Amino acid sequence: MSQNNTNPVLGTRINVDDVSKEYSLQNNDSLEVLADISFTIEAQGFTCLLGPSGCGKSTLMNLIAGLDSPTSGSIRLENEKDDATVAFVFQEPRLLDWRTVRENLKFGLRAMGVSKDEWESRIDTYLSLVGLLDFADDYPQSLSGGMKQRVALARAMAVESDVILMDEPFSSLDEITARELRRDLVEIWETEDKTILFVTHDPLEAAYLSEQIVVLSQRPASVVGDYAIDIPRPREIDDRELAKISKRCIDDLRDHI
Amino acid sequence: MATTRNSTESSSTLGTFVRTTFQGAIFYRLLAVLVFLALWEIASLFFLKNFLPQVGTIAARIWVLYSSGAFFVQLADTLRRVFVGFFFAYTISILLGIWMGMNEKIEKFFEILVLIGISIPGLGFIIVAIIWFGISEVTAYTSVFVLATPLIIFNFWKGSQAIDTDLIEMANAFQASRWMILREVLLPSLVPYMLAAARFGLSASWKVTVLVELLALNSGVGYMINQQFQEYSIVGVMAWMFGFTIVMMAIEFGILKTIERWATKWRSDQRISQPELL
Repeated sequence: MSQNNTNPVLGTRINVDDVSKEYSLQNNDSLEVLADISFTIEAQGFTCLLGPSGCGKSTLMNLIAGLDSPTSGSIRLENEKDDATVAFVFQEPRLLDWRTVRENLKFGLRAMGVSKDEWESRIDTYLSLVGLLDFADDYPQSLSGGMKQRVALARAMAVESDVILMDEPFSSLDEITARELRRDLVEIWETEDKTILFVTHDPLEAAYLSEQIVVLSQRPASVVGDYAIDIPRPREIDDRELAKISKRCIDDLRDHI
Repeated sequence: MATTRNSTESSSTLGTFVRTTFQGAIFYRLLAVLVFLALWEIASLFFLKNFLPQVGTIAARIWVLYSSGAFFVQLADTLRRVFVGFFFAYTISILLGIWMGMNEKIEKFFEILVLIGISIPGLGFIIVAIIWFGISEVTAYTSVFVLATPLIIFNFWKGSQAIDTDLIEMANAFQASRWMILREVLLPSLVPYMLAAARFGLSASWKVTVLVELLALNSGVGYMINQQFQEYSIVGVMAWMFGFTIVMMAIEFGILKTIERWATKWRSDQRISQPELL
């Protein structure tokens, strides 16, 4: 991707060190969500956080994004710039329905303080990357669920952050559309120098997508498995090797219920 | 990426679908009015003219009122009272509604006042206002303001509770400033509720205005209705009443619907999901 000349995206390592998070409840109790979590995501890595629903994966994402701070432990986003930017893709597209696709991308660019001269070229680049350039001036409500999620992906890519955090982005799509988007996401990741952290509760999806799977237990979440996935790409979702990895992750989870 | 422009075809079929249903809506609206008028006409055959006049008689009288210009002299006074009262009621309501939405203490403080305000009998307050301000414009403005404000706040605030907090979370994740969140996320999400509240408030405002004119003022549509009543002219009362209704419908379809279509042009279905309360 040529736009990297103007704003080089450097590889960013994410270091999660002994992180715990507690919330205090009204009746003087506290709710422990994360317990002593440690793992490292290599620069330009694609890591999946796998865990049961409600285990605190989203909390961990917010901590990494800096939207919240841990009770103890530290999270470091390490790169040469000393300052890593983060972009989000959520489970729902979360688009502004009253703005066109193009304007939705502008919203992210403006919010993140990207210089105005770059907006149009970035929008064109990333909309064509997700295959939606023809729909730039359409309103989100005229798009399908899969297309909306592509717009959300383009919005996150366009700010050219060092890290992209994705919180179960394909879980509310039908399986056919989800497969298509997973394949596209891997293609995009291979051409961009980004670190991606992808939260999912689907072990097969994790095995298909990632270089590394970090398995989290139920709440309070702790790391119960950390695997490097070195199956060559392009991968097939019904590959038996992926099924084996998926089974191992499920066994990890079952042991810790 | 397999997505092609194909689906625009389906969106233009959707467009045709919307257009035809919209035309369908106009058809059924006209049909409903015609059926009502026909039933009235039939009913009028069984009653004395002084009890239920024929549709044609009323229409002819409305025509006379309109074409002589007499109607519009009175209408101007009425509309001024409606819009001045409504303007203050609406501005205060939207500001207070947003404040209540942002601050839980403010919400709790004003909630009971709003509920009490809704429960005040309109006629009762109008009489109090007449005692305070006499035969004066202030009586109309105050009555509209006091009676419409709680209704508008209630309507707007209940609607705005449905606002999507996911979008605010998204904006925060992209580090949007507070100003940007207000302008790009909150205000646009509030627009449909602001429109619903405007429609609701306007209908409350003109009902109050006509009542004030009828009881205490010496001009306006309400005053003329009272005058026709003094003369025992049911044709006159109905002509002023329906003559005014036609104007309010013109405002509804000519102005409010246009604003609504413009403000919600992003809706793919263009169907308005708000309650129509006029």
